[in-house]
Amino acid sequence: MRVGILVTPTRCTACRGCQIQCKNWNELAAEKTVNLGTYENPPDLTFNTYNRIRFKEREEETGVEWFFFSQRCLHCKEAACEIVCPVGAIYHGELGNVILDQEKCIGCKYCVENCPFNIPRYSAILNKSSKCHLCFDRIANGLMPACTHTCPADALRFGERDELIQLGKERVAKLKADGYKNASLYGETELGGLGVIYVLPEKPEFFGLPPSPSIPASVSIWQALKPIGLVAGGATVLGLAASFLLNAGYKKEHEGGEE
Amino acid sequence: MEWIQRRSAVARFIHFIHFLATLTLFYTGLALYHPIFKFLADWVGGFGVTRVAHRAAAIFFIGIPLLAIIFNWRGFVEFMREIFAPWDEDDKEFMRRFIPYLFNAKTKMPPQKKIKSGQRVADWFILGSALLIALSGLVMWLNVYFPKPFVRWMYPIHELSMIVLGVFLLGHAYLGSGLFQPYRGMYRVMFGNGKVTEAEARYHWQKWAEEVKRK
Repeated sequence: MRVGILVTPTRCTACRGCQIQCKNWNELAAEKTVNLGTYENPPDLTFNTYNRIRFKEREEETGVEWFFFSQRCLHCKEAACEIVCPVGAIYHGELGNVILDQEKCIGCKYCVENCPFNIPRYSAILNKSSKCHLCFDRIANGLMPACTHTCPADALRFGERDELIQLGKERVAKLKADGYKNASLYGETELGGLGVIYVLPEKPEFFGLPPSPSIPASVSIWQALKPIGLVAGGATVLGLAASFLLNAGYKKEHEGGEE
Repeated sequence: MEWIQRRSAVARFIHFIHFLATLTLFYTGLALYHPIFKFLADWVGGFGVTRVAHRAAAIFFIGIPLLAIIFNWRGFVEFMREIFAPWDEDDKEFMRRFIPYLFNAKTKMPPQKKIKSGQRVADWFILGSALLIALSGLVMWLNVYFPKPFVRWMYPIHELSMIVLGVFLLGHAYLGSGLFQPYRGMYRVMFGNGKVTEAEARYHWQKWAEEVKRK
């Protein structure tokens, strides 16, 4: 079974209880933020902020329309962070969630640099990276993730992924019927299927999501180089060893050897 | 026995420091390159140690050649001229026979100038990959100042240049240390007094040896 979260921005009221509950459950310290002239706060994900509501607005003939978008780890099935982590600190849990084990993390920032969604954050003080782990500790004990537990508007719904996709499709159909012609379900097939599925009222780009996310080409080349390097290095050592053995005992002419 | 000075004390000192820096970089870098090399990190106290050591060694890896170029610009220009000098027939013939020579030291090699054509080819690859590995490493180190799609490409570039550099440096170490039978004693050039015997000079760099004798 694979679990996930269905995010429906049009249902969100931006109460941001999810932000608070996430910090509460995961014991993440609050941080001083800055006023950027918007209600959006905090302004970005940080080492201590695994999820946040982004405020996206759009001018309509009838006035300004506000969308509240939950930014968080999407728990990809094909996760670039897991592929590039050199110490195996990032792994898939049994229920499909992508977990970053901070005990193993060495702070190399490979995951930070290579995530197609720009999610993991690095702390220079602790020399570790962090991100949402879909409350694997709560799920294992029969609870739902903290953010979904507190959401009063059903904008974040936890459940079995297949069921969430069904519900998501229904909600997309409803949005389209309501006039959101660009509405779509995001995450059903992207990167092997995401664990966090969005009922988007607008195009993915509008929310800063890549329309067709993929493992970066540089990551694929990089990983392919690893076995190539081992073979090249091993072949060189073997070749040089053969050269050494074949020439053992050789003496040059001026050393008394024969031509 | 007559000795010919081939490398100056300064050159040997720079080479030695750079040798230590490169060795440290390969040791600490390989630890993270592939899980089978994790033991390298465990031996010295974990990845915290190797990652700091990697950066410390990188400062010398980049800084030493920079200082050498700045303070000995003419030497650098001369070196560039030597390794990019036009090739004559002997140079080409040397390259053709080099691989068979490695497996059969009896192969007769054509006379060579101060830097053998094979060494010149190796220098191109070593300098090119060292430049790439240094630049990509700097971007990785200063990652926050560059856009992510750009930084991402530095990882494969860093590892590809490491593979090229590693292969050539293995060959360089094998020949330079004198493990290869005809090169016995060659370690003295960089790790000893910097001198070669006249007989050695004639065997390895006949044209250079004759030029030195004429002077």
